[in-house]
Amino acid sequence: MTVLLPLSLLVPLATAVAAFLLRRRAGAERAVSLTGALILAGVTARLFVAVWADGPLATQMGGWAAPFGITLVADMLSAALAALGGALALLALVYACAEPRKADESHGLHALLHVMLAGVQGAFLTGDLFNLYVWFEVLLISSFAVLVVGQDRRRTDAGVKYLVPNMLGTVFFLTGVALVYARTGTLNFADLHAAVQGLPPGESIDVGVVFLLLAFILKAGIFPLFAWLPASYHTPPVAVSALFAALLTKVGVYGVARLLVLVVPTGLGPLRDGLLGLAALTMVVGVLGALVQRDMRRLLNFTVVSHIGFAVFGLALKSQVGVMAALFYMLQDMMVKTGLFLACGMVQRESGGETRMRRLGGLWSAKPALALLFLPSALALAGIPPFVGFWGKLMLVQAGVAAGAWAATAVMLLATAVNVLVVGRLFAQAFWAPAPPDRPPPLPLGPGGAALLLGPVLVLAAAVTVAGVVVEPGVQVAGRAAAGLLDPAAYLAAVRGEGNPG
Amino acid sequence: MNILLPLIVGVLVACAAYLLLSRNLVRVVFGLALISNAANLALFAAGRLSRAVPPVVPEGATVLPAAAANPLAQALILTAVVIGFGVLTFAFVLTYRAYQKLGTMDTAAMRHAEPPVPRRDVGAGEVAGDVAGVEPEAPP
Repeated sequence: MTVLLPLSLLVPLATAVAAFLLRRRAGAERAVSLTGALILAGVTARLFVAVWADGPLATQMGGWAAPFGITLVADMLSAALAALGGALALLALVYACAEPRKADESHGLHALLHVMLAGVQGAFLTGDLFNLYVWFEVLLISSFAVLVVGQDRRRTDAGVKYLVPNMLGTVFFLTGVALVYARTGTLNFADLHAAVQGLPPGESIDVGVVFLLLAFILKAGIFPLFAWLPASYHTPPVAVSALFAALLTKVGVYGVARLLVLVVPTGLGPLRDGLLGLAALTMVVGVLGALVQRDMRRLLNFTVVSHIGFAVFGLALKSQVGVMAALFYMLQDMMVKTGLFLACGMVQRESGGETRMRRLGGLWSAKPALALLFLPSALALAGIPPFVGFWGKLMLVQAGVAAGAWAATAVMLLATAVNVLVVGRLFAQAFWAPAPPDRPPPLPLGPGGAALLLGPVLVLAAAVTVAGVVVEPGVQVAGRAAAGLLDPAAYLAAVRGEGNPG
Repeated sequence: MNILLPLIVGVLVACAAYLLLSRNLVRVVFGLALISNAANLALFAAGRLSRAVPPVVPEGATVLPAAAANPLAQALILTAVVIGFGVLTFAFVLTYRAYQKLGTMDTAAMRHAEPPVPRRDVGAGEVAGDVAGVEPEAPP
């Protein structure tokens, strides 16, 4: 089964090479890209099943034993993120193939997206801090290129604003790695966990951890380091934005979870409460930003920022229920975000490519079925039962109350209320408002476009609804992931126990 | 040796911070180059610096001599330098493309992806360029 771990990296990398070679041949490039995404979704789903059945899986690349070699390890958290990421990437790529072919695809968009997927999977599956840095760079560099590959002016502008802060983030990351290594002499997560417990009293790796946290919260888009996100995420095609929103920011949150819960479960003192404050501010700033946007796509960007705050809120609570609620929230948010982005893409298409709020409207009478596809994700985002977002928010509120974080919980409820307003405004404007008189015709679709467009949106709307009605499996996954982080005995055993396979 | 390296890192970070605060994109990218090298040097120091003790296991021994530097940190730097070089190259190319496409190096004037903000220090003509798909904000 451990062969699944390197396969989750090799499949997207091989697909990227093939897609790059075939980039001038429209049909072949898309076929290769979709096949690669399908295989990746299958491999990561199989990995998830294996981890669910047998506990954490680990393998050492090159056969070097644990703290010295390159460890790939999947515990419940990594496997769930990898599997969900693989499935969502497949859906987003199917949606992308419904569009008529544009210039960015012949410049290698699909190849770059698959390198990005390899980076995301690598970040989720690595068991080593420096390798996390390397995968971070892989996904960042490819996302830089994905962002600017169309070479239009808006994407170039967005590329500049995305590049500079994220590059600074990697510098913080590297500095953090240096400081942690200087104090502990190891970079393997499992080994670090033990090394931190064994530090003599008075010594800690807190400074290094703060540098690492800076890098993670920058990548996650947490207040105050979020301004790059709403400046850039709305410029690429909507399927690409959906991937960015569902996967890239979550890598930052994953880093925070791995670091704060597994590596340094105690320590940091008042800084942990500071993180709670930052999470609360992120929710508020994000949701208020979304409220005043006049552009649908930019409104979506701000909802990405806001909901990262919810996930980090749970992580900052220092309790098992908090971590579990945060992980459940993060997993469901990936699904909801992809669904909402793709549904908004359909709204944009029906409105003739318009994204300005006041130029939307009239879709309730023109496309009533689209409203049905749009509503599950939108209501899940707002936290309305029975959709899955409600349960995420309920668990967070329970965890917040149980931990006695009254102020932050109150802020979260307030942000949720404003969030309902944001979603309501978007829905009312897109569907109920009268159609603008001079509305351009809907954008054209590529060959076979209607089915390719409808499929992913339908699947995601159904998934958000079903996961909200049958909520128990999702909670169990989050519960096991949280337990695996908080009591990492099985994780440590998997990383250390796997001897030299040769 | 142990005082020189922190000093160099400090000077590099200070210069980088100064450059990063500039509105000129070229200066910002030079700032990124300096600060990423400062991080590389910090990583170098993490591996313990020593003079004239190569990290080679002597014949007959099984571990390094006590005073030798840790070679892993140097391997990490090598990786980080290569990655940093790639990203910087991309940053410079993007800067040049931004100059070609947007006609400015002034980051405050780059408002193509976001609604333009009326500012006193940016000429109106510079921000009134391509804002397709973005609704202009009403002046306050």
